[in-house]
Amino acid sequence: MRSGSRNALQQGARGDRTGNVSKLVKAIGRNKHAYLFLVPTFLFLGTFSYYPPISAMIHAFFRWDGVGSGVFVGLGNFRELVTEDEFFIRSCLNVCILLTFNVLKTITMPFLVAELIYWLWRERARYAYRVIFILPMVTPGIVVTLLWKFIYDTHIGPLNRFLTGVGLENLAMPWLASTKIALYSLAAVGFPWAGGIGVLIYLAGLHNIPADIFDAARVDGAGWLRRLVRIDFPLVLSQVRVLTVMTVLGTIQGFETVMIMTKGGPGFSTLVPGLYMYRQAFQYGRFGYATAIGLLMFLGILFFTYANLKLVRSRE
Amino acid sequence: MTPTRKMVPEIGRHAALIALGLLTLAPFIIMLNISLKNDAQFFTEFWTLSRPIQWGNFAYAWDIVSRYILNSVIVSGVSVFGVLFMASLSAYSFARFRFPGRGLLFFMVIGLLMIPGVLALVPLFSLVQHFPLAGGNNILGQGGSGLLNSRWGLILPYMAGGQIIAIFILRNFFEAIPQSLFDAARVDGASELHIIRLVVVPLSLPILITVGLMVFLGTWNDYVWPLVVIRSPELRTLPVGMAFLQGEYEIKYGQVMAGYTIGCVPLLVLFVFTMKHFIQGLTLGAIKG
Repeated sequence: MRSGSRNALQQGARGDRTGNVSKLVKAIGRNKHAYLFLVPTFLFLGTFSYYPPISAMIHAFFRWDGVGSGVFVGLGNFRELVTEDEFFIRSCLNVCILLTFNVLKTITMPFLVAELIYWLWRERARYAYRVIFILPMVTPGIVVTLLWKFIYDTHIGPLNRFLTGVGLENLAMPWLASTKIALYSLAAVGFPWAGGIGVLIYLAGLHNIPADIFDAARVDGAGWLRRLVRIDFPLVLSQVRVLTVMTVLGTIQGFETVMIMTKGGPGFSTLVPGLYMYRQAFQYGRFGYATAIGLLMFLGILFFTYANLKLVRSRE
Repeated sequence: MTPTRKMVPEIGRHAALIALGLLTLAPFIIMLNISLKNDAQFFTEFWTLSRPIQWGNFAYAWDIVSRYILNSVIVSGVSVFGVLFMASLSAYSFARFRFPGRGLLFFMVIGLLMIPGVLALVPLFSLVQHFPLAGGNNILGQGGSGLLNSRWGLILPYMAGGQIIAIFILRNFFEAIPQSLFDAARVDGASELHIIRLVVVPLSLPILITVGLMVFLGTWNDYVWPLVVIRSPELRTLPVGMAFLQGEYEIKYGQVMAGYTIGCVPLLVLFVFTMKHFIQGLTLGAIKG
């Protein structure tokens, strides 16, 4: 149907110019409802979805306090960020470490859980476990974050209580208050990293694998580990890709976990670019500088998404 | 193969799943357990169930948290209806009309999926603060606080952001409705709005619910935007309210945990009643990222 309308336009192009224009006017008039129905959407998108990112791309080159148009500084913001701002550079390293852990977390444990659930005998049991592992997603994310902050608490937190209780008091640590381990504590949030959307996505992937592939593997006498490595995992690679992209986007953009649990500290040992951008704008009023950070994060997201697509595709 | 030999891996799977499930739910189990303790019980009997059970914690926490829940219900509810209304109109337009510029306009909607929220955050704040003719602002957006510290400062951007993926999903669905139904309605003299109300919406109810839940979850869990927009404690949404629970109120550990527990209830209730759509909405929302 779409090509039909294109043909009509092409035919119009072959005719004389006035005929072309009047045909266009007629086509627009005939479809006036179509345009009318788009008006609210485009009013909203224009104001709240188009204007801000365009403003960001412009103001990244300005010294701007959020009011008026600011002072043009060329690449000044970027030069300062990349060459002078050790907080920003540290925050980029931090987010790379978190990124590595988070990607590993989301592609391994949920896959294992999905495998365990998929090969259960009874549909009832599969359903019940599925619900159990979704439950963390059904609670507000903020509650999970606040609970982990509590779990890590040096004095009253369950983790140190547990370690002391079982005689491992030398392992009890100031999990979020030590510059050396705070970042890794953040990376470990959600242990055993088994719940969540990954389980559902992998289960859907496993269900898409034709049964005769499994039958063939069984006939060939492949054990479960061999089947898992040689069949199940390669056949859910597209799910791996989806989860990786999701995690990369979420990790680079999401800073509320860091903000709530450590505020980027102690010192700037857990600072991430998103939080740094937030502070530059809302604490120091450096809106131009903040949008420059946002623009670099956008480029980072584009880079990682592209690299991931290339990488996983070449392996397939 | 003997049945016993086949039983072993099955039991192993159950054991592994139960262990992982317990660890996954452990923070919530700890939360529930503490929510029933007073401070003395919290310090002396941390791991065990305490007697007497402190039901009063929930009454105390409810007085604080109920307001946040109401705020979140209003903000998310209005956003969901706004998104569904505008996205249905646009998706219908893209799905059932062949008009000049259709491809370009559709691309202009979908292209926004590539723009991450983090790029827009800071200028969006400035836009909301200097929104013309709102919150004491003049027509140039100066003089007042704009949409800051009002529910509209949350709802209007949510209504824009939620539409993008909604239009994409709904358009695919609306395109699959048989043309004969539309022809029949038009023969009967139904106007376009009638067709949407009497043909499209009833046939698309499941997908509308899914999309609605997706938008609801996204706005319900949002933390950073309400944090910067809302100043008055009485307008705080649930996530912001819960983050400020400890520290701003004279509140004990048991009461904090009771507050977190109460904060979990609305989504759980929604989940129980709309399980299938909820999971779809969750998956769509996650993939949209």
